[in-house]
Parts: sequence; structure tokens; C-alpha cells
Amino acid sequence: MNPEFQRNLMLELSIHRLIAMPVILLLVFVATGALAGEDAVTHVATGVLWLLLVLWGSRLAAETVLGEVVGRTWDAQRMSSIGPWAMSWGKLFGSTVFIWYGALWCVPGYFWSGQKSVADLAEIALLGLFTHAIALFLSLMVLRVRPGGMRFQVTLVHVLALSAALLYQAGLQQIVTLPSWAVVRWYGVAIDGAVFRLASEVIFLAWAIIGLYRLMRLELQFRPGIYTRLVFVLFVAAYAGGLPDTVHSVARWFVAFGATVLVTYVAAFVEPKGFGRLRRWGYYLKTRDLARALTTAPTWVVSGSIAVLLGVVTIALWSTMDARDAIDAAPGLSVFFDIRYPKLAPFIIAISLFLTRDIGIIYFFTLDGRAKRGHLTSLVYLGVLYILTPLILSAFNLDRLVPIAVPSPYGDPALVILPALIQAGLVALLIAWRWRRLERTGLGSVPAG
Amino acid sequence: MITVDGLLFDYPTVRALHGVSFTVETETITALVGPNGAGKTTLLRCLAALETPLSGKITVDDVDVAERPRAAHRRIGFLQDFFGLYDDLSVRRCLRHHAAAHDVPRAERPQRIAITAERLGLTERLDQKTGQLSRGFRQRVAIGQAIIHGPKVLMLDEPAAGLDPEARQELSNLLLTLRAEGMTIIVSSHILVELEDYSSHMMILDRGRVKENRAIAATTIASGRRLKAVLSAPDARLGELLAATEGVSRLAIEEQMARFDFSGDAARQALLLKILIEAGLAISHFGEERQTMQDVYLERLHAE
Repeated sequence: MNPEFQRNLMLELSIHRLIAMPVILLLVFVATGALAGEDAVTHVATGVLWLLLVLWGSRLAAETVLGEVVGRTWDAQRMSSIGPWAMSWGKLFGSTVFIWYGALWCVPGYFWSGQKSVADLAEIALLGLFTHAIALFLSLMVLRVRPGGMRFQVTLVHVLALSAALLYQAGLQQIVTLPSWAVVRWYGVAIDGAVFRLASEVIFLAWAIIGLYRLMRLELQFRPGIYTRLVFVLFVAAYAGGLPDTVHSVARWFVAFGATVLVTYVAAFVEPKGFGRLRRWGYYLKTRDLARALTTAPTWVVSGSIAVLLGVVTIALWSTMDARDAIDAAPGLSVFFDIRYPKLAPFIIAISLFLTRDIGIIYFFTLDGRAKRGHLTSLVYLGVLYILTPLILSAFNLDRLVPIAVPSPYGDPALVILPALIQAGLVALLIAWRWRRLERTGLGSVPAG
Repeated sequence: MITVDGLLFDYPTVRALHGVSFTVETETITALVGPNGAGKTTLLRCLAALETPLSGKITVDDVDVAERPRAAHRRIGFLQDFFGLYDDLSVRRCLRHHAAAHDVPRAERPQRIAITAERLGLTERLDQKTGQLSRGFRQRVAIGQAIIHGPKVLMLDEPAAGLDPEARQELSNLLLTLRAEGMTIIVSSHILVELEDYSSHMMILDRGRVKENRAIAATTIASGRRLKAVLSAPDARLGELLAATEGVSRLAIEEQMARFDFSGDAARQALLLKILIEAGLAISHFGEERQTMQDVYLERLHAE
């Protein structure tokens, strides 16, 4: 048996717990049935399943690795012969085994009134597993970024995992319940909404587990690879690009571009940063160790490069009149593609430049390794730039200057692009200044070769 | 057994290791010493493939640690300065988990657990939860976890911290036994007197650079046998006689005591003593003054 799973079994499944869980659940269901009827039993069982699988399970998954770091047992685990896959599933299912045991006892109550189907149960189980995988994935991510104390990290991971689960479910719910999406048209292919939702859940769960496995590999000191990140970014672009209900591809390329920009922002925030890592990456580039340079490149470099490529393709397609004629069919996107506002190219260029500026801001505040304070400071400044500045400009009737602060599909192209370019350049100068300061703090030059 | 070449390690704003290079021979016990912040723990963590250096190469038993970290882990046991145990598991379950986690064949595990517990004086406590053990016994369990898979290299960071004198002596005996069985051991500690009991080599690390890495016996030989002569009362003739004697160097006189390097053999040492006595000097002590590890450490540390 997987030693990590076995260890969790020994810790999680005591005789007391094995007896207490079904007894308490039985008492809850009997009391509910006696006081409120059969339907209430199903409602309560559904609620308990949510509490166990989503709320409590994600907390346990968030704590499993971070708790080992606090308990100073994680390094011994890292030095064991347990492989990354065995460690991943051993922790994913081992840390939550008691939760799954409890969920099993909820099943009779769940089906008691006959209102729920096996598919409904599978959906909750999938959501629970997805939340656990995301929580474990985020805990490994947080371990690399180390934003503050361990208690804060566990809570942060728990909140983020729950948010991800709720957003994910709400997003899928939105897709399949909009009137026009009852049948989802993905790249024009009609797919039943329920089937699309289930398939999406399974695929995103698979990606969560792949991400977890990749981070576990890094924790166990395996060499990182580039393909997982590359394929994930391409998958996100392809998945999102299929969603616009349009006949013309330019809308798909634009949505794919937007999705990769979002991935780039997320990556820039959650990936480990700091002077040392950038130096190491620079060292590999300088010594032309391309294999290591590619594998140690930050993920935002991978996703950002793909975003730029997608932006270039979108601009190229947009430059043809045929595309402009057909674009209005994409609901919600016509604002960007309306023939009356043919400013898509400056808009995409501005988004790319603002993205560069924002990554620069995040790095400026985190280069010295102060992850917690640096990220929060970046968020504050980005809030000022994206929310306060446009509000102030609008308040003084200077709406035409709003493109200075936010990428805009309207307005003079020069006003859309130039300010973004200047801001990106200024942030680059700030980064260079901080880089030189850090170099003077005691680090010698990296030897060549 | 261990080869390190050009190891460079950076923390965000501090370089911890500056191109460290050294070798550690098989079946030796190397005392890794140095002041606080010298980079000892960072070096041990790099050797254990727990940290990735900026550049440089580490091989353990011919395994490139960066290329094959898991293969390296199978060959290494590592006890950190601040370690943890699974407090809710018994000693037996802790040892069993580590044996399983290090791929010890299932059939061998009970025997390995019994032998390890016996060696560390844990047999009576195998079924006790580790959370209920004293600091000393927890230390023993942690050492047991580090050696249960029979690593070729064992690295211990401050292993004697928190141990009582008897347990320290047992630790010393255990390390000597493991070495005799073929294990290569590196011990980082501030307690030089203890290291002297079992170390065969000493490596001094200072501000991320190796200042000294040599066999401890060789240290004594290279600087000659250091002799000490003590008189019952100060006598100026002691210095004069010694200074005129062939083979005497680095002579230091402190009141009625003289310290000096002597390159002659045992017969010439006896002859020297005879000369001093025949000269009428009231010798109360005459013998070899072994240079302690602490002497060497301080001497090398302050050499530059």
C-alpha cells in the first residue's frame, strides 16, 4: 500500500472516529425525519455532504502539507522514496479519508426521499474532489511563495479553494442555464448542457490533479518540465475560444487571447518570485542552458508569450473586412468588434502593454522576497490604477483620458497605446533600479560556465 | 563518497555558499564546524537534495544529486537541527512508515525496526506515542528514522542538542559503530568537544567558504607533536635549553611552563627529558600536548 496513504489511515481513522461519525449522522437523520419529514432528511443530508466534502475536506486538504511543514516532518517526506504521484494521491485521498467515510454514511439519507439521482450525488462528489485537489494544489503553491505565517497560509488556501470551487460551479451553472446555452455550442458543435457541464467538471478536475502532481514533482526536487504549463495554457485558450456563439473565428481568437491574459495575471501573482529565482533563470539564459532556462521560466512568460501570439493572430484576422462583417453574431462581444469602433488592434496592444506593466509592478514589490507585503502592495497599487484613476478622470469630465488608466477599445489609438507604453517603460526602469540595488546587497556576480 | 564542486547558493539577498568545493572520503566521520551563519545548514540541505543550488555539482556515491535526487535520497539519511515527529503515531509506526517510505522490503521491516530500536535504546518504548516521549527519546526516534533504510551517507545537524550526557555518549558510540559498518557521516555541531570523540575529519566553513577540510590526525602531524614541559617553579634555563635543542620549534614560555613543537621520535623525546632533569630543572610534567579540535578551529578561523 502507498505508505503516505497508509500513514494517513493510521492518523485519521481511529476506532473512536469510526464509531462516532455514523452514530452522530444517524441521530441527525432520525431526528430530522421525525421532526420534519422525509424531504427534510434529504435536504439535511445534502447540507452535511456539502459541509463534509467541500468545507471540511478542503480545510483538511489545505492543512495536510502545510501542517507537515509546521510540524517539521515535510523534509523527511521529501527525502523519502515515495514518488510524486504516490505522494499526491496519498495526500489527496489520505488527508480526507475520514471525510469520505462520513460522506458514505450520508448516502442513505441523501436518497431517502427519492428526490435525488446518482448524477446529483456524483456532482457533489466531483465538486468535493475538485475542491480538495485545488486546496492541495494551492497549498503547494503557497509553500513556494510563502506569503506570511503558516496559519495565514492555511486560511488563505482554504478561502481560495472554496472561492475557486464556488466560482467554478457558478460559472458552469451560468453556461448551461442561460437560455441560449441550454444546448452548448462549442466551436459550433451542439452539446447537451448537462453533458458539457459534466465533461467540463471532469476535465477541470483532471487539470487540478495534473497541476497538483506537477507541483509535487517540484517539491520532491524533480526537474520541472515546460510541457504541462504549455499544454494547460493552450487548453484554456482552446476551451474558452470554443464558447463564443459565432461563425467567425476572430471572436474565438480574441476570447482565447483574453483567457490567456487572465491566466498570465493569475500566474504572475501565485508563482514564486524573487531576485534569486530571476537570477537563476537569467543565469541559465546567459549560459545558454536552454533546457533549464525553459523549465525554470516563470509561467507568466509561457502564458504571456502565447497571449501575445494570440493577440497578433486576432489583429491579423481583424484586419480583413470579412471578419468585421460577421462579428456581430457573438453576444456580448460585439462591443469590441463593432464596425463603428474598429480599434481592436490598439486595444489588444494596450492590454498586452498593461499586462507587462502590471507584472512589472508585482515583481517590483516582491523582488526582495517579501512575498506577503509585496503582493498586497501590488494589489493596492493595481486597485488605484484600475479603479480609482478612471473614477477620478470621470469625475472631472475627462472620460476621453480614461484609456491612460485602462485598456480601451475606443478613442484615439495613440492615446490608447502611448500611455500604456510609457507606463510599461517606467516600471521597467524601476525594476532595473531595484535589481541594481539588490545586486549591491552582498551578492557577487554569477560565474560564467 | 561525496564530491562537491563549485557550489553556489543564493538566498534572496544573501549569497550563502561561495563556490564551495570539497570531497568526503568513504567511512569517515566529518565534523562540519563554523560560526553561526557560516552556511552549514544550507550546505547540508544542498547535499541532501532539499535545496537547489544556483550552480555547482554534488555527487553522493556516484549519484548526481541534481540529476537524480530520489536516487540520492535512497543513499542519504538526514536529521535536521529542528525536526518533527508524528506525535499521534507510536514509535513502531513511525519507524515502520519510514521503512516503507524508503522502499525497505516488507519482509525486512520488522527486523529493521527491532535492530534500530535496540541500537537506540527504544525497544521498551516501541508502542509509546512519540508525542509522549522526552526530548532525548524523540531525538533517538528521529535518528532511527534517518538510519532505518541503511543509508550510505548520514548527515546530522546538531544531533546532540537536548541529549543528556549518557545519551550523548551513546550517540557517540552509535556513530562510531555506523562508521565501522561502512557508513559515511557528516555531523554539524557547535559542541567541538563531543565532535572530537568520534570525528575523523574536520571541515571548517566560514561565511560560505571552506577554510579547512582535513583528517584530524593529519592536523597534529603536520604541525609536529606539541610537547609541554612544566616546572615546579619558574626557571629561565628551561627556555634556553629548549631553544638550543635540535627539533624544537614554535617555543612558547609562560612562567614555569613551556610549549613547543618537537620533530624528534620517542627516543629523542626521552633524551630531551633526561637532559632537562640532569640540568637540575624541577620537572613536574613532561608530555605531549594534543592539539584539540577547538584549537585547530580557532587557529584556522582566525588565520586570515
